[in-house]
Amino acid sequence: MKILLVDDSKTMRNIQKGILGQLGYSDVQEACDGLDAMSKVGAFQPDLLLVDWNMPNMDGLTFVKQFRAKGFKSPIIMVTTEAEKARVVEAIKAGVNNYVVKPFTPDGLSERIKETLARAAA
Amino acid sequence: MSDPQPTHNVRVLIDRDQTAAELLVPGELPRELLTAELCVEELRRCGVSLNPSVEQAVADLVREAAACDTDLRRVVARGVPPRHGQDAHIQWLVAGSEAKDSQPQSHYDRSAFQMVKVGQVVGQIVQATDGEDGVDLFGKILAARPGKSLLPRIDESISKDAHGQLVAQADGVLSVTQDTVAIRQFLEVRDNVDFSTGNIEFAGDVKVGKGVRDCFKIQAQGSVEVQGLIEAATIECQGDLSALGGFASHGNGGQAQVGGSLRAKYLDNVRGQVRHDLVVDKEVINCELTVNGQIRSPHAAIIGGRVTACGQVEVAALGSPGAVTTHLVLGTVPRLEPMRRRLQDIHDKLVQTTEKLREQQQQLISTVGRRPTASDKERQTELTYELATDQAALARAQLAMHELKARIDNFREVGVKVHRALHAGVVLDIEGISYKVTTQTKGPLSVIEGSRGELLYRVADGQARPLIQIAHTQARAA
Repeated sequence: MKILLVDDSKTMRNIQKGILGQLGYSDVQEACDGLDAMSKVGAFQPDLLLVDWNMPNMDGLTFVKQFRAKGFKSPIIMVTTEAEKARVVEAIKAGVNNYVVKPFTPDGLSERIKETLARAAA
Repeated sequence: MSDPQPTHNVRVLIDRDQTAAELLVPGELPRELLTAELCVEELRRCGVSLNPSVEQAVADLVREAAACDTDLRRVVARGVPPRHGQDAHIQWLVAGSEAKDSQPQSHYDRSAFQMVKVGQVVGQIVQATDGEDGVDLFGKILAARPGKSLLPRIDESISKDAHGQLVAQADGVLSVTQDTVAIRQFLEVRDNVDFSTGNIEFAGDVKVGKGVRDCFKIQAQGSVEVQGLIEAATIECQGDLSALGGFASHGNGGQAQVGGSLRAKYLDNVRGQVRHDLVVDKEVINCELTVNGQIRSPHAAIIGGRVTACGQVEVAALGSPGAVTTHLVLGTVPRLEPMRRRLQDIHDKLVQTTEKLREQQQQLISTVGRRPTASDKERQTELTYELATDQAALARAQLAMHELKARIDNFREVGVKVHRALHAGVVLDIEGISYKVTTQTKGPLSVIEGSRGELLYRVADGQARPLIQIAHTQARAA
């Protein structure tokens, strides 16, 4: 299972990586914004993406739209501080599969990852 | 060579083994009569083989004699003595004390024994040679005596390859006698371990016929038996140590690291560890010892110092009538103690960091109120994650401590039998509590652990009573 973490905060990426490690996923790559992520998806071909919303250069929503526009089907979990319902709906419409609001607990994120992967496999 | 008789002619003198001929020219012989031909003729008459080098020596003699009017005596012909063959022998290649002499070295480190390791080339067989025949003055062959090919028997602890190299098949000391060459895994030092032997480092058992002097060290992979007194020395062995003449360092730092049991006549000022049992005939005085097994010394007294015991303790007396402070630590498993302390440290640190993280989390929640910024939310996530990670580690540490405690409980035995007297001044330490005996009590008595971990004592077959009736307690600093 290949997983791409897209977040401008290295601390957040480390936390997500730690949680993924506990779930047994070690093939993880990181990108510091949407632009960086776009340059990596072609070669890496991730099976799951965890994407922050607010990032410099290219935000998470723009990245999701461009990723889907290129025909990638891999599930995306938006991990963000944006908790308003309208924003959640906007993200889902852009092609996000699941949504985790910061602050989150390790168990909370783990559950969402398992849930998303189970849905994608169904 | 015989002395010449007085004469006026040139004379030839042959030595006893017939390998050298001299010409004697008397001072009275007129030099105008002396010619090389005369000398050569005289040599020929005596049967001496002639060759150009003899003729040259004769010419030199005639020239020298012309310039002197006294007797002149010179060797003019030589035979070739035989070169006898060399006996077969072993050329030893072991770096003994001589080989180390090129480097500065402590006299304590010089070893009188040739210790070898498995696979080490210890020697090379040098085969016997035939020698070379010689020839005497008259051309007769002088036969060379061939070398003897007899070698000592090479034991199976040493292998011999096709090139005659001898390779050690075991660690040990190289033993060379007239009949046998072997690597022995038993080293016997007949006298003292001192400057005559140097420190001993040996792969097997060591037996010392006398004592071990101050500051010397014995390291053995087997057992060590010392028949005399061990002074302020260091003994490290993986097997048993028998100090039959006692071990007395008189406060100068005698050390014992014993992988088996320690048996001694007495111990005085010895520090160290004993993996199995301690058996002493007389006293254990001012020792700092950790005994992982039992102390089985029914005729001995433990006086002063600190002795830690994992198993049962049986002694004649604990302490002395002079109320010397004597610590006996009970109910621990010394070999697991370092692990227990490490786990306790890890646990305590995790408790501290968890508490600190909780405080930070509370502080953040109360500071940001109901409208946290994105960065507050990320900080909250960070603290939550760190807290969860620390809590998981803490749970693992607690589980490990619990398992370790179960192991320790499985091994530890608290039981002290005192045959003669338990003296005032004795301190029995158990699980962080010190019981300092204030009232001397005659034996036979025993000290046991009560159901709540407290210490009880029983005189003869009487009832078990709380030890605090004859001792006062205090919590011991960790």
